[in-house]
Amino acid sequence: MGYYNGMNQTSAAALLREARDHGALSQRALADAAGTSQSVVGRIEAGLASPSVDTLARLVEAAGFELKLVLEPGSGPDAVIEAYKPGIDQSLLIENLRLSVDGRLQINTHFNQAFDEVDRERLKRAERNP
Amino acid sequence: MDLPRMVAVLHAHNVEFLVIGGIAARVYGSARITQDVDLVYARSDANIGRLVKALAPFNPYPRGAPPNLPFEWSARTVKAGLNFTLATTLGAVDVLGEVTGGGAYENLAGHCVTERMFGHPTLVISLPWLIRLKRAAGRVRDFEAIAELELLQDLQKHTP
Repeated sequence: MGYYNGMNQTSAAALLREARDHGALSQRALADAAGTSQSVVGRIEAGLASPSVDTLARLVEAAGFELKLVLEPGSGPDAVIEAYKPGIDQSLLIENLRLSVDGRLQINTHFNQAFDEVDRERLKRAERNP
Repeated sequence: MDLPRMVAVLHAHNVEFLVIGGIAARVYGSARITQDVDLVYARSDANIGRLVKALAPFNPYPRGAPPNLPFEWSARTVKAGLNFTLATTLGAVDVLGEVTGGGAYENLAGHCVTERMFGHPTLVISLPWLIRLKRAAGRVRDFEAIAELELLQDLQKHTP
């Protein structure tokens, strides 16, 4: 199903790389400033190592930033939304999941073509019987 | 809606865009039919220029507006505005500079997956973020769609 684009703060790797880029530091310079090795920085940025919060904080601080972690309430189940679920035909969803992405989109296209056809027919009839 | 052509045209012009809304829902297996495509575009001058050029041959015009309004599809118009609900000869397209609960392209791009749509690697908002955006929009007509997306999320978790 594809992959995460990882452009910003969605991973430690992207966060560290972004901080280092903004600080205009090489991996080695950042490592030296943070008292660690270039390979540690490289492995984190490559997504091969998951740093502890303390380590990540130390590294981004060395690049001139402060790491802030924010707790946000999760969006738990919503009673209104839950009430809709029993009425949804899951077999159709399972069928769709078996299709390729293009297959899922093509069904939409076919329906749209049918809607267009109906609209055109309706228009013709309206012109014939104003 | 000629989605394959729309996608091809935007890529041919190197437009920075990502897909949200009903088409993104279809990508994740939604059974709901959508008659328009919702795109979030990057607001840089260069990208606005590319977007305008890409869609210009398809006569973009405000959807549902009376005919003969002095509407000009141009970079100036797009820069002066933000979100445009358009009718084009390729079909209905919502061209969005920002979305409720998600902000601009730059904010959303990090919460996308890349899917091949008709042969083109295309940024599509991730399923959790699609749900989040629909929740943030708070429209009653989206409630069933959100329920369906949450079911799809569960199904995906349990599908090997």
